[in-house]
Amino acid sequence: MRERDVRGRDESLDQDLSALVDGELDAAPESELRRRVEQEPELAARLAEFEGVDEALRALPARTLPDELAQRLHARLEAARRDTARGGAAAHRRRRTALRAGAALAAAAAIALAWIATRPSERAAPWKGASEEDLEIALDLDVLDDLDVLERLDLLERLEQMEEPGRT
Amino acid sequence: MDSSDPDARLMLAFQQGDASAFDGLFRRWAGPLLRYLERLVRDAAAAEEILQETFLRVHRARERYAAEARFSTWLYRIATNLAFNELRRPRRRREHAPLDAPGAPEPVDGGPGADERADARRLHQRVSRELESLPDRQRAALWLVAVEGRSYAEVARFLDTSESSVKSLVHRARAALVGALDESRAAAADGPAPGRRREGR
Repeated sequence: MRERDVRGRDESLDQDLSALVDGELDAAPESELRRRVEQEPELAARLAEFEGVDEALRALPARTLPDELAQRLHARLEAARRDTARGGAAAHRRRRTALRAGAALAAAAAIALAWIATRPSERAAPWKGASEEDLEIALDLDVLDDLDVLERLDLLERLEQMEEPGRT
Repeated sequence: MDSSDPDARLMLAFQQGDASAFDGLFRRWAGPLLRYLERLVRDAAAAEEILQETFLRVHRARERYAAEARFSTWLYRIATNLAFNELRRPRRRREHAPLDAPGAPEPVDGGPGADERADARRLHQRVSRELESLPDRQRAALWLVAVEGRSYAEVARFLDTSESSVKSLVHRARAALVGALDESRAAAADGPAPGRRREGR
C-alpha cells in the first residue's frame, strides 16, 4: 500500500485537490492548481483517485422508491387531520410530556425567543417570526427539531433526555 | 419570493390550498432524499420512516413557510436533523442487514458480460461498505457533494456548520475511501473471487 504524507502542507494541498473536484476553489487558486496538475503526475493521479471515488459513489445502485410510500404518507396525513379534528389527542399527549419536562423546556424556549429577537433580520429562515403562538408551537416536541434557533441551542440533545421511555 | 426556485412556488401554492402541489414536491424530492437517507442512516426501513416524517413536518409547517431560503435546503435540513437524531439513539442498534449485503449469494449469471457485472456488484458492495464505515458527518457531506452535487455552502446549511468544515469533511471522507478501496481491492486480488471464471484470463 502506498504511503501517503497528508500532514502539514500536503494536507492543505490534498484538501484543495478535493475541492477542485467540487469546483469549490476561487478562480486564481483553481487556475494555479490546474496548472500544477497538468505538470505534476502525482497530483494528477491523486485528483483521479478522488474523482474515482465520486464515480463509484454515483454508480451505487439506487432502490426504486416504493410505490406505497406516498400512500403511507397520505394515510398518516389523514390520520393527523382526523386527530386534529377530534381535538388533537396525540398533540395533547405530547404537550403533557412537554409539561412534565416543564421547567427546562420552558427555559429553553424563553432563551430561544430571546435569541430570535436578537437575530439579524437578513438571516434566511423559513419562519416568519416568533410570537406567543410560536412559543406554544415550540412546546410541541416534534416541531422543535425544525427551528434553526433551537438546533443551535443543542436542544435535540435535551429532547432525547426528556423523551418518554420506549418512545420511537 | 425566490422566483427561480420552482419548489418554493410549489410550496407557496400548497400553502394557498393546492394539495397537488405537495404531491408534486414529494414526487420531486422523495427519490433523492430517500437515497441520501438510506446512505446516511444505513437502514432502509429507518430511512423510509425519516422520509415520511420529513414530509409530515413540511405538511404541518406549510402555513409558516416563507420562501426566503431554498425549499430543498429546508427539506434536507429537516431530514438531516432527523437522521442524526436516529443515529444518536443509543438504544436503537442496527438490526437490519447493510444496504448492499456482501454476504448475499451472487445471482446465477452466465450470460455475456457476466464477469463484468459480477465485478461491478463486488465493487458496489465494497464502496457501500466503506461508505457506511465513515463517520456520520463525513458520510453525509461526501454524499451530498459527490452524488447530489450540492455546494459547500448548501451542505454547511444542512449540517449547521461552516463551509471550511464541509471542505474538510469531504476531503477526509474522500481520502478515507481512496485508502479503503485500495486496501479492499488489493485484498480481493489476493485470491480468486467466488464463482469467477478463469478461462481466457
